[in-house]
Amino acid sequence: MIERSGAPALELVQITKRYGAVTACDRADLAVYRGEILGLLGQNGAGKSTLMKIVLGLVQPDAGDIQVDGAPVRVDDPVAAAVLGIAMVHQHLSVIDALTVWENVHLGERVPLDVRKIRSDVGDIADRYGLDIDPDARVGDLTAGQRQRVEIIKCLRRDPAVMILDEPTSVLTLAESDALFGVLRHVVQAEGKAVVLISHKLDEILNGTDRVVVMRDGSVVEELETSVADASQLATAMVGRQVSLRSEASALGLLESLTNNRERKASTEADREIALRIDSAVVVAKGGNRLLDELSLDVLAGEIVGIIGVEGNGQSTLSELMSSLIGLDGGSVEVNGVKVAAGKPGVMCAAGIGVIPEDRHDAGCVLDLSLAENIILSNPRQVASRGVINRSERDALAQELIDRFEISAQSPSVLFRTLSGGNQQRAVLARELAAAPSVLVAVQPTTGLDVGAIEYMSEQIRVAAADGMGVLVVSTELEEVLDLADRIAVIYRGRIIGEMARGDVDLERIGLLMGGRNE
Amino acid sequence: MSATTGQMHEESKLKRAALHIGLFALFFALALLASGLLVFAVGGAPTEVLGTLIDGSLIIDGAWGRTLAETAPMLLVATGVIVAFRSGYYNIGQEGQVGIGALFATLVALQMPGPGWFVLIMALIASAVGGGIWAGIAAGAYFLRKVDVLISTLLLVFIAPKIILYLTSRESLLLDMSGSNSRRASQSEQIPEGVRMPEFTIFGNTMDFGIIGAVVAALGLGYLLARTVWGLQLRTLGLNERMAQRVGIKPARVGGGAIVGSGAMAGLAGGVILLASAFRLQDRISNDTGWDGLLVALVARLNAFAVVPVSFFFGILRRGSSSLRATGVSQTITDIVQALFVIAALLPAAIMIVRDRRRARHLAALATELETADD
Repeated sequence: MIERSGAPALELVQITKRYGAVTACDRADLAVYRGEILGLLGQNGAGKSTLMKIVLGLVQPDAGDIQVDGAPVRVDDPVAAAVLGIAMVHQHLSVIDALTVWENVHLGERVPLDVRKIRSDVGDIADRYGLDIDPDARVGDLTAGQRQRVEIIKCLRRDPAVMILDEPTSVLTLAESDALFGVLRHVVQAEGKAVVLISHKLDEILNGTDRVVVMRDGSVVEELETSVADASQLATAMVGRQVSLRSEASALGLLESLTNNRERKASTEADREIALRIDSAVVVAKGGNRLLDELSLDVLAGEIVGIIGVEGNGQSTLSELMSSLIGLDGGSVEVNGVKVAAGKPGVMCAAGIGVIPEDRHDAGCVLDLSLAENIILSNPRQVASRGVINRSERDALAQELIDRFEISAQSPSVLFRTLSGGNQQRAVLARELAAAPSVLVAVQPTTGLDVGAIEYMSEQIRVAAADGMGVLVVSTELEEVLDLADRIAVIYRGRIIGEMARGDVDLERIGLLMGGRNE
Repeated sequence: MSATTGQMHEESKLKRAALHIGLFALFFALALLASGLLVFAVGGAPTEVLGTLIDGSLIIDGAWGRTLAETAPMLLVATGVIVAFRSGYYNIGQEGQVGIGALFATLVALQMPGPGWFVLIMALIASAVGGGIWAGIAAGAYFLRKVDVLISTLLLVFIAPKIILYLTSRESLLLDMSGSNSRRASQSEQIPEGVRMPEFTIFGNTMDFGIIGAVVAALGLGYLLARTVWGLQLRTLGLNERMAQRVGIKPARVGGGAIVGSGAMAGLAGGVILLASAFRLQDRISNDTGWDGLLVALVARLNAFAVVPVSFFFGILRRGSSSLRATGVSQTITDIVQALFVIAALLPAAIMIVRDRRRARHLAALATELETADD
């Protein structure tokens, strides 16, 4: 048991932050003492990040107090936070590739440049904490783990009293994660610093922390000593027992009709073909981190499979794979039994995989083409003869989809950029469904949409499946997956670590799986 | 929601055009003022700068024909620039590609046997092939080894004249052996009369067929970009590379093709310069046609229709400043005058781009705000 004497190094009292109708933090209390590692556990959107942004002065709370060593303080901006001895290692590393290690360490400091001192400081810190690194290496040449060391060295050089690490292991290999926890243990034990570790990984929290706080929907729902915590208790607290109203409604109402449907389907399950088979897919990032680690998954024709997992566990890689944006380092992808040469331009599209990407601006549309051009983009030859596009055919096709999918646009020739976000999403959906693919991959299809749009999108996805498409819904939101999927698979560190049918859903088990426990 | 943004978009179009024209007028007045001061400072007649520029390029007998002939190579280059830039691959090595095109045309024009018209056509084809190969080196380096296209095409510019100089100063190669030994310049023999570009005369103005070919090429490109599958793919590649990859547009084929094609257009411009006006190969045969063509395309904001008038404007400047030189103003000064007008033409476009970006950001923020308000 750790002795906690005196005031906490950092204490948050009744912090509330609202964004419009959304309450990101709801009277949250949190205290971290010197000499301990506090784990902060929660799903995406639980309010962890907002709370930490408040501590760093990036966001101002609507209500509540911040205290450092027992004295109330104001944190107006990150500079004020730094003066108070609060420092953070961000999840998305903010190092600059073109600069060397020592240059990155100096960056942002408002003191005259003393190259010799910085380089020796980097060496000292590296020795003291066992963070082996060459001060003159170019950051762009380093692995993800080494780049994170640069951030940590930068953070430690300011000798903070409180260190906050946001999902620090999401870019690390297992060995690098172990090394990181060695460093953190040293920091708290030998130097009496306080560490806050934000994570969704249950093993990390159970093995690496002294105390754990669980957040859900903006509130702190559980706080206990790690030594008395067990995984299932934390998983339940993280996911919550209550299924949301939305899922309940769909389970009672909409799904009623689908249940019969499903029974019919079930009887013919044996005859149904495998629309998509991903077999032991491996994708390795520079530095050896396995983004997909022998991921295997089958999607049957007419089935909706939901992949749930906390962000950063391989979902975006999976989406890129299905969009022909990256190749495989191992394994294979088959569509209707035919192997696809992953990574070559357009192969997935040609093989019959439609994708609704999470960020439609990334690989979902071209903002500076017209709506009609975006609609014919995946197969322009359908409205062309000898390479010349027939404009009236093109516009007729676009108009048909505009009407069918109720896209609010003045004409097919409006610039895609001028459409609202919801209409852009509809247009992408329209294009992908109009191509009648064998498989539809939808990544976070309803995130950020309003209630009506969510219903519409969900309905379209169900209809697509009923028409015999194999649908893969990839999401970080449990509700979305519970609402749509016939079968649920959990992704963790680039692999599917558990599956269950919608009817057998056990929320506690999903929570455990999302946290990396498969027992 | 989309209706309101749409309206804002339409409304700003009119305002934009007015603003653009206003900016042009302003910067032109400034360029003219600065040119006048400059000419005055070196002892010339400042009030005659504009008059001389216009007289020399448009008014006096046969002037606009010569201006159009001067315009043709620039227009060909600019058309090529549009192909490359729209695909997202920034080939800026036109100045070198023009030279290599002229070199290839020279080799064919001087050495190929056959009737004149046939040799002429083969020489023009060869010039396009030459420019294409020169740009193709950069394309190959990019798609095989990820060498930056901007840098490789630029560096190739400086190699091209060295190759031409080498070839035109060796007896055994292309050096013209006529004339006395001591007065020999590093240049090739003259292109025989029968292989030169044919000319035609309208309203007393004589020009070669280069300008007709160049205008057809520019308008044809405008059609291809807007109306064909190739055009759509090329634009998609330039606007969103990842989307292009997803829908199966092969960067090496479409983008590499665009680099080579733009080089071929620049090479063709070199062929036209050689066969319509220079008639001899020299290392400086391009005489900034490549750079000017690049500027033309940028001022026209990569619009295949707008390059036609813009290149004519550049033709007026080039032609007009040579008549300014004829009035006794030194070339240094006329070059500066020309540059001032180029800057005057470029600045409004640059200002509009910056303004558009700001507006787009503002509109996007507004749309998001409205959408959240909808929730």
